Amino acid sequence: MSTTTTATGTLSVGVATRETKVKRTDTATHWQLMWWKFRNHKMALLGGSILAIMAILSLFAEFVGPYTPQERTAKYAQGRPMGFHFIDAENSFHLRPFVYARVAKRNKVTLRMETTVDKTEMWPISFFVRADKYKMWGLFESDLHLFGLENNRHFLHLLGTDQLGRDMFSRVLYATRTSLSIGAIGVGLAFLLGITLGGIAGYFGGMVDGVIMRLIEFIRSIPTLPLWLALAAALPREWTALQVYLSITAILALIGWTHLARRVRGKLLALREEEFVLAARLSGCSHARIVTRHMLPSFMSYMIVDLTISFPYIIMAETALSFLGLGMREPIVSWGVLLYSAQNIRSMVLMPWLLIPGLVVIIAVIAFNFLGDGMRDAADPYTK
Amino acid sequence: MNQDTLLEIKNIYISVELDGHSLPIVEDVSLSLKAGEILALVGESGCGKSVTAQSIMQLLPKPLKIESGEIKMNSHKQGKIIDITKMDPRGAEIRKIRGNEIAMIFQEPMSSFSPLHTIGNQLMEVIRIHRKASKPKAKAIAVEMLDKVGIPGAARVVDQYPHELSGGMRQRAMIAKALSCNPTLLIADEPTTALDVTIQAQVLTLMHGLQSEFGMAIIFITHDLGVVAQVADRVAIMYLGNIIEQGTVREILKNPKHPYTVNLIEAVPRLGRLEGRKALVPIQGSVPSLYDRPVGCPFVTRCTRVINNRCEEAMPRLLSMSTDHQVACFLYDSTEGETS
Amino acid sequence: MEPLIKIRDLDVTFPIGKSGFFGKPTAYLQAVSGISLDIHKRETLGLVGESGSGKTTLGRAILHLEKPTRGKVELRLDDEYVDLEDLNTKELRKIWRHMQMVFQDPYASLNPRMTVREIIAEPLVVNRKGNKNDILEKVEKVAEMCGLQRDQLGRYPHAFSGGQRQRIAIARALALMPQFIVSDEPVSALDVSIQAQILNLFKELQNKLGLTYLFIAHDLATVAHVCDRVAVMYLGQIVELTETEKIFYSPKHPYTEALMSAIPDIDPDRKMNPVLSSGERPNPANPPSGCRFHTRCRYVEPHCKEVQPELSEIVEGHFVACHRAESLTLQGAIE
Repeated sequence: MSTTTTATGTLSVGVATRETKVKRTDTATHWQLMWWKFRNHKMALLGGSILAIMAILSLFAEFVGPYTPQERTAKYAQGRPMGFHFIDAENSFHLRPFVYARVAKRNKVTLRMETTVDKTEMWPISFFVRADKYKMWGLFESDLHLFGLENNRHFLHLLGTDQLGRDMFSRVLYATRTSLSIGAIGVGLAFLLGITLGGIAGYFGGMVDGVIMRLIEFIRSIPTLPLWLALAAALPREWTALQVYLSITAILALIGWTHLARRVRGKLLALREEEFVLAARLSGCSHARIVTRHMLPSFMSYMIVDLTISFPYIIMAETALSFLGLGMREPIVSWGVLLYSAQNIRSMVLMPWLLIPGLVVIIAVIAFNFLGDGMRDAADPYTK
Repeated sequence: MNQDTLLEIKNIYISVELDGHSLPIVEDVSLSLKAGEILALVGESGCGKSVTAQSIMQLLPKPLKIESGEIKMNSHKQGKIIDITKMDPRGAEIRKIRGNEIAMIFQEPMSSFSPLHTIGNQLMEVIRIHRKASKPKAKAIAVEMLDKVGIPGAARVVDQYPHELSGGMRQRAMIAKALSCNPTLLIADEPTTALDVTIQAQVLTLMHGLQSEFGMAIIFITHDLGVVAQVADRVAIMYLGNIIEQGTVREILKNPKHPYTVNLIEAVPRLGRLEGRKALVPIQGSVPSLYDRPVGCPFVTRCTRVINNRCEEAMPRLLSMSTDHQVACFLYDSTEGETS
Repeated sequence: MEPLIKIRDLDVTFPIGKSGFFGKPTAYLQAVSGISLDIHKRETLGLVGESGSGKTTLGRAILHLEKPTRGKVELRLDDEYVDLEDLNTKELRKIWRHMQMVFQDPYASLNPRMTVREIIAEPLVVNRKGNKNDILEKVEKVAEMCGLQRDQLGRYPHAFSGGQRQRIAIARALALMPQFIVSDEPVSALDVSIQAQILNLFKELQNKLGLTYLFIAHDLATVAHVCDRVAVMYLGQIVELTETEKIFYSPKHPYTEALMSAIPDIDPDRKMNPVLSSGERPNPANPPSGCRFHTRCRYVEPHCKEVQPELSEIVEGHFVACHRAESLTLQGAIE
């Protein structure tokens, strides 16, 4: 720090005489600043972590889940969730978690098969056990599971089973994978459509803009639910599960892009008049360079926020469709498919654990909203 | 407190909470204002002039807070001396002061009008709350006020919405709203900065006229020394949260003492000095950020007359140069080594 | 001497209030109407006017950043005039090497996602001015000329104060060594103590590089300080144009007189006496008939409401658009 007493006149190009210390933020890129701001948002971090855990667990559903989604434990159909324990009935501690044995007995009065907990026998849970064979992502075969029971006559259903004795825990994992991936692909497709059409409308303006905007207004004026129903009902019944999956995703994206397109257009129209874009034009930049180097980076962060926020809408839409029996079908499981089987009062009363997928949907949607909130704050890191 | 003193700010400190640090933005500011006097508060962005004014109405935005000091006001309507710093910013006491004894006008007139109600309704609301007037009476007062601020066709404008008026007219309407309860103090925060120069001249003339008619005191916040010279009686120059020089307008502008004031006057282009058009003498560097506030005199980083081992060490105290001219600079402080 | 830039009968019209199925405009706003102007080499021409006078639009139209609806702009290059109207987008980009702009808001005119080095280098990169090292060298040179230090070039704009940002913007405009720069209120967003630094920088650069400026401002004192000639605009038209001294001390147009009388002087003994005590600026989308200033003019005559006065040279080098220019004695700035 210098405190020289230079005559003012000689320093007409008044460079700051005092060297200000270089702050970390001075040379930080936009994304760094965004991250620094984002991580101050605790709820968003929480939401992000929940979603990350969901994504990772479901990505490795074959490995994490002890069963495949269609495998049945006939003797434990409609079974309650089995809690795991570390401390047994005699109060002694076991390092290895265990479940109590279940015994099936015929009720002498009703003549029904009933399962009771047998606290004298413990089934210890093992990790990295060899059990059912599966094909990871349809690519390579394995039979290694994260956890399970060594004895293949015993069974482990942490979240219970459905009417047919299928393991709810495994099914929820597979369903999470389907639903999140539909969300991701759907949002991705919607984003592509939105950014292309919105971009064309916003950059060229005039007549093109008018046509695209009217198209968007037309699509948005159609009530969504009947439209989905109509489109989904039009899918041929004989299509394979995979074909249905892809077309449902496409249907959701086709309707979801309008919102994004509007945002892209609005942002581009505003950016076109920004002084730094005008300056780029004067610098001799081509249209392509202006768009890719100046305009896109300026609203990419906003678009990502929009994406995060539109994610739950697509997921909810899929859940709604499948719940109504018009979306995914077995053998593909999604949150909606799982909830479909929890539709009647009888199962809700007798097997409330069938509603667990609904809880997962709620957690995911809330997590997305927290995440979106934090990202919205971080998208403009230059304001305090 | 003296009988004809209207407002007295004593050693007020205001700080802001940023990233867990408490940074001072107004330091040890003392001001006093006589009834009917126009005081200009001058400085560049971030010097704390607006914050000081907001504190008078307990209107500081969230992360800002008065740390210490007092703001005393001789309330004519209540017939006693009140201390504003002791009041709850959301309490009933301060609401009796705001808009009633102290009114405020801003740079952006839309900020003091709701777009959903007519100009008349918004004026009448204030009048009815503070003056306990009946509805027809309040409307009559509203029309009278609009007429006084020179809005043509006041009887018609009273039923119009704010967006139907032009910028200059909105500014006038805002002044009418501020004056409708006959306040003893008007705080004007850069009221003409956004206006064109011809409209600015009209608004300044208007304010001058209203001041002599209503007799209220005005605190005029501005960065424009020309506006100061034209409207104010006294002026306080602020730099980085400190008053570095204050006195009568004529004294300060014609006989500035603090190097910052001297440089500032030199750096402003003027019409009167056209011949030859010599290069302006700029102040070097820029105002340090709150985080980089220098120890000692706040101007030390840009000053050309730094006294070694003194200016960087301590904040100089305000010294009286004459009856109404005080300056905070070691150049005029002969008491060696002593700090206040 | 041949002017560097010739502007003839320039009109810029904007559509306002869209309606209809594909957004057809319902009305038009003539922001600039019938402006003719010569800008000479190495001069600083001031363009003064209040908000809505069309001064920014005129500045942009001269560069063809905004396409004029009528009229033409010619730039003298190698002793020949190039009509900007004849150029396609690619050729226009080449012409912009010779004509640049400095914008008003240094917070909006710099891309926040580029470092200072990238910002100043961009015009050089896209115009292929040498290899990477040549460009970096040029960037450092021009940055230094504008008062920026080499170690600051790796930072992002948000690390700089308003004044320094404006230096960056000036450095970018100068990178291609243009002849002509439009500066649109380059100091009005800056703090008072910084304005003088930037104004002096403009002057210094002009002396060093022989630049020609169009200096747009609403602050008359600033204009008086930096400009050789001044054009006063009112509602899209030039009402007076002459040398700075003349315009300030012996104005011939009543609007110029009104502007001058409204400047608050820093000397408390020189009390301001504004001649426009009332009246508002008319809506630019619907300008008054005849002389556009007649609604506010204190010398108005019936004739003024019907016939639009032409901008004519009443004394050598002094252009005024007023029917009564020769008979009125107007009050200029206080000396």
